[in-house]
Amino acid sequence: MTMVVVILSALTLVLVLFSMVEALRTPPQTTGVPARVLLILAIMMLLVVAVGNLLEHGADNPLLDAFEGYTAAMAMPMLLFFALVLRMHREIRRAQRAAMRERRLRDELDHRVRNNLAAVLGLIDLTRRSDEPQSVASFAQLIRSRVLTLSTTHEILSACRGRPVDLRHLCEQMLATFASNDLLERVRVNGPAVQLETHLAAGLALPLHELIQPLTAARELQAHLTWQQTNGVLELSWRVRNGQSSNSSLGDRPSGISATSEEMIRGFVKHELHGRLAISQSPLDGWKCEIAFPLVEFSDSLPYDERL
Amino acid sequence: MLERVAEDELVGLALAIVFTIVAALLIARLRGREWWPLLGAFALTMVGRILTVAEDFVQPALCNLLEHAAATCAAALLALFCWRLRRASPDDSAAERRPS
Repeated sequence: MTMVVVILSALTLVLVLFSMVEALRTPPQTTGVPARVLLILAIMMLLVVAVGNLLEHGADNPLLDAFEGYTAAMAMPMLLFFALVLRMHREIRRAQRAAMRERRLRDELDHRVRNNLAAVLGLIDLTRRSDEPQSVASFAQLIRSRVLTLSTTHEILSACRGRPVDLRHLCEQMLATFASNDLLERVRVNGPAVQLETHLAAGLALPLHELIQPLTAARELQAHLTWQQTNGVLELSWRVRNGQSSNSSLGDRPSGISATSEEMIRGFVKHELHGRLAISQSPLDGWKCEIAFPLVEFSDSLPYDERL
Repeated sequence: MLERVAEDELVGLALAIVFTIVAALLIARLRGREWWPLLGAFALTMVGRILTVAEDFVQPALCNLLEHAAATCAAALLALFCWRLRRASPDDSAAERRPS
C-alpha cells in the first residue's frame, strides 16, 4: 500500500512539473502576464504539496506535512483568479479584434467604392475619346451598357462569395445583359468547365462585353466563342463571321468593334488578366480575337512569356 | 467527533469546499468547454480534502490511498488544462495580417 502511495505521489509530482513547464511555455501574450503569474504561483503551491507527500511517504519525513492542507487550499483561489483573469483577457482581445475587423472592413469598403467610381469615370473618358462620331443618345446607351456590365459582374462575384466563377456562367450573364432576343442564337459558346478566380472574372467581363456589344447593332454578324485550358493557361477564341453575303455597314471593321473597344480589350487583357491578345482576319475564319491568360496568380514583376 | 480531526485539516476542507463551489459557479458561466479540466481539478482537490478528514474515522489506509489517487488525477487534469492552454494559444500575428 505504501509503495502504491509513493508511486502516486511521484506521479503527481511529475504531472505538476509538467503543468509548470506547459504554463511557462504558454505565450505570455495569450494569457497576459498577471494571469500567467497566478497560474504559475498556484502550480508552485501544488508542487510543494506533491514534494511534501513524496517526502512523507517515500522517505518517511513529514517535513512539509503541516503546510499541506493550507497550501493545497490556497492554490485553489489562485487557479480560480487565473481563470477569471484569463477570461477577461480573452474577452478584451476578442473585442479588440472585432473592432479591428470592423475598421478594416470599412477601409476596404471605402477602397472598393473609390475603385468603382474611378472605373466608371474611366469608362466615361474612354467612351468620350471614341474615334467615331456619336450622338448623345448613343453615347448614353454605350455608357449605360458598360456600367451595366460592371454591375452584372459585381452581382456575379457577390453571388459567388469569393469562390471561383464558372466561365460559361459568366459568358451567359454577359450575353444576358443585352436586350437582344436573337443574340443567344447568333453567339455559340463552347468550352470545357473552367473556374475563374474572382479577379480574373472581373478582368474578363468588360472585354467580353466589348466583343459582344457590336453584335447588337449588326444583326448579320454571328460569333463563336470557344476556349480551352492548357498548362494553366486559358485560351479564348472569339470568331466573328458575317452571316450575309453583302456587308456594307461595317466598312473596314468586319467585327464591328471600334478602335476604342479594341484599345479597352487590349488594356484589360494586358493589365488585369496579365495575358496576351492576338487579332487576325482571314477569309476562312473571319475576324478572330484570341485571348490567352494564366489561370493562376503570378507575380506582377514576371513577364507573361516567362510564366508560360 | 470533530475533536479527532486536526484543525488544519478542517480549515483545508472548508476552504477546498468553498473554493470548489465558487469555482463551479463561476467556471460554469465561462463560455466554451475548455474549462472542464480545471473544474475537475478543483473537484478532485475537494475530494482529496474530504478523504483527508475521513481517514481519521474509517479505513485510514484506503482513504490515504484514495486521497493520493484523487491528487494524482487532479494533477493530471491540471496538466491537461495547461497543455490545452498552450495548444489553443491563438496566433496573434495571423490576426494582425491584413486581408487581401
